[in-house]
Amino acid sequence: MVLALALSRYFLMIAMAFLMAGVIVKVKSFWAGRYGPPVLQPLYDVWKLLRKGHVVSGTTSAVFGAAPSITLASVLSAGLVLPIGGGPAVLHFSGDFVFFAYVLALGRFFAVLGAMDTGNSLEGMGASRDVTFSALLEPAFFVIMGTLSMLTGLTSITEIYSMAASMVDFTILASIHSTGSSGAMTYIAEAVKAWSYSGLFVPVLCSNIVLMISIIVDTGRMPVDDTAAHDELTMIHGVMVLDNSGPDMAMINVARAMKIALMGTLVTGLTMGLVVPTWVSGALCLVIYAFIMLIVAAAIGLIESVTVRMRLSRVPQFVLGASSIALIVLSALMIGRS
Amino acid sequence: MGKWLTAKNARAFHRREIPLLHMDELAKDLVRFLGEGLRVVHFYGRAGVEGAVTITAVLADDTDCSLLVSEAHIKSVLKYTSMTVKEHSLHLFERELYEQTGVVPERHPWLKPVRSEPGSHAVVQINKPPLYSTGGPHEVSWGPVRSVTAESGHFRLLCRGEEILHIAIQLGYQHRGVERLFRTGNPMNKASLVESIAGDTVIAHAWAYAMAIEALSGITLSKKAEMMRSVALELERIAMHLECLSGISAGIGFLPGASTYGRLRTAVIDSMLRLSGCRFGRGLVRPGGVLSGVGSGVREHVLRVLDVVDHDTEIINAYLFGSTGVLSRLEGTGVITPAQVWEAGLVGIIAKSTGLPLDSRADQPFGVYEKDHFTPITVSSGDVYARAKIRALEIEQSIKIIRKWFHYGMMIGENMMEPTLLGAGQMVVTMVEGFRGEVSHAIITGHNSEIEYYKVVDTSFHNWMGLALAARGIGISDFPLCNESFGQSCCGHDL
Repeated sequence: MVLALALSRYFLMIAMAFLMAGVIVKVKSFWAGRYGPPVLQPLYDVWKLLRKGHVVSGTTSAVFGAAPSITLASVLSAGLVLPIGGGPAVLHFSGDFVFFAYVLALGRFFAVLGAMDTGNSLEGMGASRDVTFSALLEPAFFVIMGTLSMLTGLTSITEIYSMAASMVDFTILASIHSTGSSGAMTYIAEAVKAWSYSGLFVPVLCSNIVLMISIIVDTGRMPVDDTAAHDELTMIHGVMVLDNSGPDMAMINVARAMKIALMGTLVTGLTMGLVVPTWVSGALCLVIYAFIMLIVAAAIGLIESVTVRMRLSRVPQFVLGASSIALIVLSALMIGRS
Repeated sequence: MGKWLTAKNARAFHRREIPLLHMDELAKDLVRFLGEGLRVVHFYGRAGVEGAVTITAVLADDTDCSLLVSEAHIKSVLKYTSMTVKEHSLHLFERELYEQTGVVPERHPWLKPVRSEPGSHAVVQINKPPLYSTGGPHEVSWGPVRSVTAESGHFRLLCRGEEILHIAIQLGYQHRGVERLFRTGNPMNKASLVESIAGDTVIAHAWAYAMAIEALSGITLSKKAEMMRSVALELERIAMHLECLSGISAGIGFLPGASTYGRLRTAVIDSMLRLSGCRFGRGLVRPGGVLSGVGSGVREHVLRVLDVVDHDTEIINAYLFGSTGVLSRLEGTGVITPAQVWEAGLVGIIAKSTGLPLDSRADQPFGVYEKDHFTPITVSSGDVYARAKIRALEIEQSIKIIRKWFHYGMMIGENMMEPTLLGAGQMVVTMVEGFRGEVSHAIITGHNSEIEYYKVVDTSFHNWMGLALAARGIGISDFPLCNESFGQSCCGHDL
């Protein structure tokens, strides 16, 4: 029963992946003064691609054929350890955030191999850029997860998240009870007080910023990469899949959409820990989860709309910025402890 | 130094007036003149009798608005010492000469093909690149099939890591044999052909053609027709500059710019539709005048559209050129120096973006610009920013000009004059300032008033090398932006 519930939440996340991809495009279109494609267009595109045949270059080996499936499988497996909408993940074990990061890295490794396998100089160039930026991004994720792990004393994402939520919740309830008043403003004021008591506010805020930067870098969003760009020379992710078509391309599209949902779920989980008391029921939690996920998507769309693409040589600074935020939080925490 | 005939833009002269020099003399003079600050407009050869080749050189002297013309014959041994080593701006002209006539410019650095002319002499040369011995740079090949909107062209990027050392540009994929087609059939009926040279420079090319035919047949246009052409030319400039700004915005992911400039461009080409019956201005300019006049309704419509464009560009320009994110991408990217402009023989918008006011409307005035003195705008930094800024400024300028003309009230006279037979044994060179820069046509007529030779030089023929120069030292990922800011035409080059 617990597993069935966890699985249904997992499928909700997959559904959200498509919805988020659609919402991002919708927000961008709105900003550009267009109607834009339907919100479910990413889903239609996948369906369209699945029905198409695919062309495989004669210079490629089996790696090229396997890469999209492995990438998709890695993304889907990484999703299994994520707590969705306040509930526990399908799988959780101690140190599963390491599993999460490296299963994703495995997928990227094969995506890169697949790109290099074609022998196309443009794809090799894209692969080189992708590897550079993701290598720079990796420390940020681990420092953030390490910080949260230190705060809670736990090492599984599910446990860390539920502990974080309960830490805030206790204090909120306690403080509201002690003042004896109600109303939205009081609630927010007390919640802010509660966050500061729990010592979670700054770490969670910074973690969310770092995770948002991860989404931008990892999924090739502005200002790092432009999904709407049509010049291969400027692309990072777009250029790695020039040779893929049909069902392979469908898998790559799903994996990309899923990546946003995975990182979005991490952001949403932390945010929900802060704003949603633990006594809110499961179904309502899922609604709030979906809502925050859409806000995350809208935020990405907004960032995409208002920022201008960075010069590629500046991107490492931006990515390292995420690591430095993470390091600052960690050191602040360590100083606080000592 | 030999004699050179001094001619004017769009004034026909007799072929017998053209001085005939020895090829060595011609080459010596050319190098000297180019060193003195003249620019090469035409340099081509045409096959004469008994295997001889006549080489014609046309230079522009911008200081006194004149053109210098001279010819040389090459017989029996089809070769001479290349001038490219001394004057780099001739490199493409000499390659074209070799490809079209087989005359070998000896010691030319790389006689690779200009276009894919059937039976070309140059094809064998493509695999003998002179500059790949720089320690084995990493190569990224881009094209000829590029993204949806781009024309066919092949760019071999020689890079060190993400840094571009040089770009070997190979064009010719859209060669349709335009010059050859001009020599067949009735010269009066070539308007549709000339409008197909480059779909975005319709008015400029059609005007250069029509002006040449008119000069050869001795027609004087009505004020109204000249005004209509100028209005159409400036509208084309506004529309294409908007298009380019939209492209630059899209290239850096600046969505408001991409959509706003795109929308305004549509409004402008829609008003071109009112003017000529085609959004790209086809079917307006014909030898003898213009096919459709402009009534007060259309005039009001165009002015109204321009008001909107003026108002909206002001806002979006302020947003584009005021945003730090945008400026960090545009400023200092793909810099061209004035010295490089002279060296490579770049013209038009690229020259103006480095501070050199090369503009046929001022230097070699034609049509309305002969009476209405024109002052080109320049920007000095020579980077992508300058190439974007100059476009924004020229849009403003063109709007002002059109408004001024529409308020002159000189819209009287015939739309069309009856074209007469072309003068026999004559030559004419016409230059029109399209939105990219000068567009030049040259016609030589035979004894029976037939077109013996037709030469077209589009702005892009001069300017492609500029892109390769600008791209040196920039990052690979900045190259498409740089390319966008040049806004060159492949088909204009390929003919």
